[in-house]
This record gives sequence, C-alpha cells and structure tokens, in this order.
Amino acid sequence: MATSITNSRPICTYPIPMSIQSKLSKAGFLTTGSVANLRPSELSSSAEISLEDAADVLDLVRKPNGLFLETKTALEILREEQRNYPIVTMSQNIDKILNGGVPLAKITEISGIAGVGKTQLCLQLCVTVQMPEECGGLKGHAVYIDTEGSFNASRLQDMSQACIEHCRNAMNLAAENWNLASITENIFVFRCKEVTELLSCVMILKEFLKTHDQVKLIVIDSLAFHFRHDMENAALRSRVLHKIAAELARLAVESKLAVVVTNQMTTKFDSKGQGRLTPALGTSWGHAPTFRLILDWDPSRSFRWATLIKSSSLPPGSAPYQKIARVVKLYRFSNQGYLFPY
Amino acid sequence: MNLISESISPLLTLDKLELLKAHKVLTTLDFVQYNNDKIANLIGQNVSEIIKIKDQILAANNSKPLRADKLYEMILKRTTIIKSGIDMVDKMLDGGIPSGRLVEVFGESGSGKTQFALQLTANTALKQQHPVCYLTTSDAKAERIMDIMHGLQKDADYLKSLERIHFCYVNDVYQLMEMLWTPGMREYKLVIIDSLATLFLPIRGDSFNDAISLLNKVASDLKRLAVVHQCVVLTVNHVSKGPAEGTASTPTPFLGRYWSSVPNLRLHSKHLSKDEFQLTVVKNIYSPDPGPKCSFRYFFRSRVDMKNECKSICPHT
Repeated sequence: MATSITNSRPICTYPIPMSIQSKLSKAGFLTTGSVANLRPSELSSSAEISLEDAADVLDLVRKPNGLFLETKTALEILREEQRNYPIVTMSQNIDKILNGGVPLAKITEISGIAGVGKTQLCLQLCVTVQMPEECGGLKGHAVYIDTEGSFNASRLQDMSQACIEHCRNAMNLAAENWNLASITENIFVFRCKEVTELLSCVMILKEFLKTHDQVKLIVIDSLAFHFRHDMENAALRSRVLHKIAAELARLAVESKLAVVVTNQMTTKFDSKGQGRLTPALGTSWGHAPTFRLILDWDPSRSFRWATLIKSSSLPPGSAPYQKIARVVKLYRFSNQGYLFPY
Repeated sequence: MNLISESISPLLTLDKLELLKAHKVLTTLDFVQYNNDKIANLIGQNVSEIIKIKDQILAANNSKPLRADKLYEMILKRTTIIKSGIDMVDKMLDGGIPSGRLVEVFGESGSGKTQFALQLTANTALKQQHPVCYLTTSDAKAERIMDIMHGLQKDADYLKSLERIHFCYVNDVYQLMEMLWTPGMREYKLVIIDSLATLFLPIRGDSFNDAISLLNKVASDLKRLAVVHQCVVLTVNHVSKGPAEGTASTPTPFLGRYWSSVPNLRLHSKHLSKDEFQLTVVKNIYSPDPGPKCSFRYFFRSRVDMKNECKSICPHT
C-alpha cells in the first residue's frame, strides 16, 4: 500500500542507471506515483525502454518502503555490545587503553614507524582471538590480509606455543582443549601484491565469511603499503581507499568482527616548517577507524609507548601514554600477574 | 508536475491525448509551455478553450498564499527546540536548534563531531523524550550514549530513553535516500547522518554515480525532511583541507562549494585539550552576528562506573 509520501518520491532518488532515468523523465515519469499503476509493457512502450528495464524499474519502485533497511534501538545495540567481548591483546597496558582489548564491530588502526611491532601485535591478535572462552578468548578464526609479505609463520608458531602454555599454566586449561595445529589451521592468509588485489580481496571477503562464520578478526597489514607505492592518481587513490574503508565498516558491523588495519607514519610539516610524524593515508582516512593507536619507541629504545589518538568513549589524551613492554615478548609480560578481564 | 490526463478537462479526450503524446506534450508543464495556436490546431479546439485549460492547470497547481502572522503562529505551535544539554552550547545557539533546520558539524578526525551528535541524541531522547534516528556509516556507539545520559541526569529511566533512539547502518547514498523516504521518518524529531562525507568519498569523481547530482538530490531530500516533518537534521562532515597551523582561520568543510550553501547552521568542532572541546558557529542564516564560539567539556565517565552499569543492564549469562 503506497502512501502519499511515497507517491511523491522522485524517481531519481532510486538507484536507476542514468540512461534509463533520462528516458523516464523525458517521457514525463518523474514521481513514483506516475508509474506505480502501470504494467511493465505500458512503461516500456511509453518511455521507450526495454521490457526488462521497465520491469526492473517497477520492481524497485514498488518495493515496500522501510523493508530495505532495518533499524535497531540503542538499547538493543548496547545489549549486543555487552555480549561481544573484545579480543585481548595480552599486553596489559594496551588492553587497558582499549578498554579490555580490540573491540568487535569496529575498525581499529595501529600505526607506527617501521619495526615498532605493528605486525607482531597483529600476529598476536590472530592467536589470542582463538583462545578458548574459559581463558577470556572468543574461540574465533582470523583472516590475515598481507600486503607487505610480512606474515611470518614461524614467529606465529612461537607465539601460539607461548600462548597455549600460558593458558595451561596460568589458567589451568585442560591439555586436550586447545592445540598448536588448530591455531595455524584457523588463520587464513591472503597475499595481496598490489592495489587491485587488495580491493578485490576486501570485496570478496563477504562471500568468504558466509562459509567461514567463525571469523572474528580481519587484519590488514598494512593498508598503507600499496597506496603509498603504486598510486599516482590522487583522486583514484582516495576513491579506492574509501571504498575499502566502507566495505570494512560494513563487514565489521554485519558479521560482528574486529577489523584491525596497520598504517605507516609520514612527516607532516606545519607553517613553521617543523616536521611532525603522523599516520599516513591523509586526513579523510582518519575518520574511518573508531580507535587509532600509535606505537612508538621511547628515546632510550628500551620500551615502547602506545598512544590512543582517537576514541569514541574516552576523551582524547586522557590516557595518552602507556608504557608497554617489548611487543615481541608480550606473552611473557602477561605471565607477570596480569589478570584477564573476564 | 503530473502527466496530462482526461481528468484535467472534458475537452481532452483519449484520442486527443494520443495526439498530444505524439507531439511530446506529456506533462502538465509541457502543456502549459506549448504554443496556444499549435495546441489549438492539433486537437481542433478554440484558442480560448486552450487558454481556459491552461488556467485550470495553473490554478490547480498553485499553492495558496498564507498570511505571515498565521504562518508565524503555526511555526510557534509546531516548532520544537532541540537542545544539547550543555549550557554553554545551548546559550551560544540561543537556547537550542529549532526544528526545520539543517545543521552541519564539521571538523578533523577526533575533533568531537560525533561527540556532538551523540550529545544531541542523548539529550533529546532522555530530557526531551523525543524519538531520534541515527543513521551511521560506521558503528553504533550505544555505550557512549549511555555514558552521556549519566552525565545529563542521575538515576533516570535510561532504558526507555535508549529505546527512543533508532540506529540504522547506511552503506551508500541510495540506502540513505531510501531511508529518508521511509514513511517512519516522520516520527523523529532529530535525524543524524554520521557521516555524509563517508558516503560520498568512495564515489567522488566517479562518472557512473555522478556525485554532484547525487549530492544535489540528497540535499533537497534532507531539506524536505527537516521542513515537512519539522525535525532537526544534523549532518557530520569532514574537512577537506585544514588551515596552516598557527593561523586562526577555520578549515574548509568537505563536499565542495555547492554543499556549503545547503546547511542553515554550520558548526566547526575542535579538540582543545583532554576533555575540552570548542564549537564555533561558522554560518548561521538566522543570526546577524556570526562567529560566536564556546569551549566546554564533554562528560566522560570512569571505566569502573561504565562496567558496573552495563552489567546491570545486561547481566552476563
């Protein structure tokens, strides 16, 4: 049943190709009401479009409004958020500034200079996301999109071994509950050698997730790499980047999984010519992630700082610097009396 | 503008409509624009009859004049003032934002744009008890809304207020338009689009989805929504280019020059230090003195409070 509002809705607000739209408007069909009661054959002959196109247009226009998108109340979402435990990083202080770990249904960005431990943190998340529920994990699988060729399987083995040992020793996990083979089995690595591959990989993840619904984490390491090397055309670059960002946001929300992307650092100059290190990929990219974390060395190079530069639930700068142990040894650090949040 | 039909005049019989159609006279607008003599020739009527039909069409499409004082009374009756619940901000906005306006808040990432949107949402749902629609392109920040509500009022009926807020995820411009034309939209007193720029970034410069013409359609849909349903529409926008550091000027909002003329009220959001933020009125078509500024703090709760509260809402199973 169409109401008066929907009858006056202009046809140009529907996703109809321009060529068909201009034919429709030339024939005088401008609002939904003007075509609503026509048969496809009538529309086809009077607007001079093919019968298939006419049928498509009518299907689209007659689709009952409101079914297209569903809304949820804030209360429902809050309850969902409470059920989604974050992925612990096993670094006490990073978990602390992220309020328990890397959140599901959100995009988190980790940036930092080369060698500061971004990839290590990502690999570690691929392991910790698989921890059994009784140890505070999610028993989820991980997708690792590797653009730099930095995925290190033997490092992953070390980490997995350490993580399993930690769970058994510190949390009395029964030996048969979790083993090394299952960890490596449940990490799916996509190797993307250039931008087109990265874009197509992200676009087909939706299909991949249909058959792998246990995936709780998507890592892109690093997002910046191809964009900083391959792309000369700035407009195309931003279009592709934001297409990826939009798709990631959608996957995160629809499949309730955490998206972690790493980013490189670049030097930004202010009016006085003073250089300052900021995350790369430009200012408009900065809006996409919900959390932005920067890892940096202390001048003494004996430990690292983690800085949260963007967050929706914390005032920026309230907990800016957290000293973190060497990222490569995070699991050791967690042995020193770190209590899991759950 | 409608298609011409028999209902307009008894003189326009089916066969005459066919004749007109063959000469590309399809809509009432085509009919009114067409030369009198030619139409008269075409359908074999007097020119005076044609003029009469044209007058009828014009009369039927005319909107009736309203007296300004009646209009003023009507506005007083229908207008709702949407408040942020932060005294400094409401004072700067002369008490709040009246319904029927399209407001934009823009700023760099992490500058408090979304915080402002969430603040309005929380206050409208909790204190003013109006339903709110929050269209988001990223994630829903329900926990943060809960947080802000605590800052606004202690021991209120948070659950009922949270149920007044409807979140909807939109992934592209067409989904946004679909949503704007949903009949249910008339319920809301505050509609937030966070963020409009994110919807347009992936198609900027794309020839298939002509971004400018889409923006045009969205702009008119948003204005229609604000005025017809008497609600406040708030859009969140990015900055396209920041000013050189150290200069006092505000950066340029994204979405181009055309869009910059669309909102009635434009606010620039800036992060000063810690929990301190600043909002500047960059454009206000209703106020003679543009550019008032205010700095204020958003309410942030301690982590422990948040965790306990959430547990009481949603006991872990």
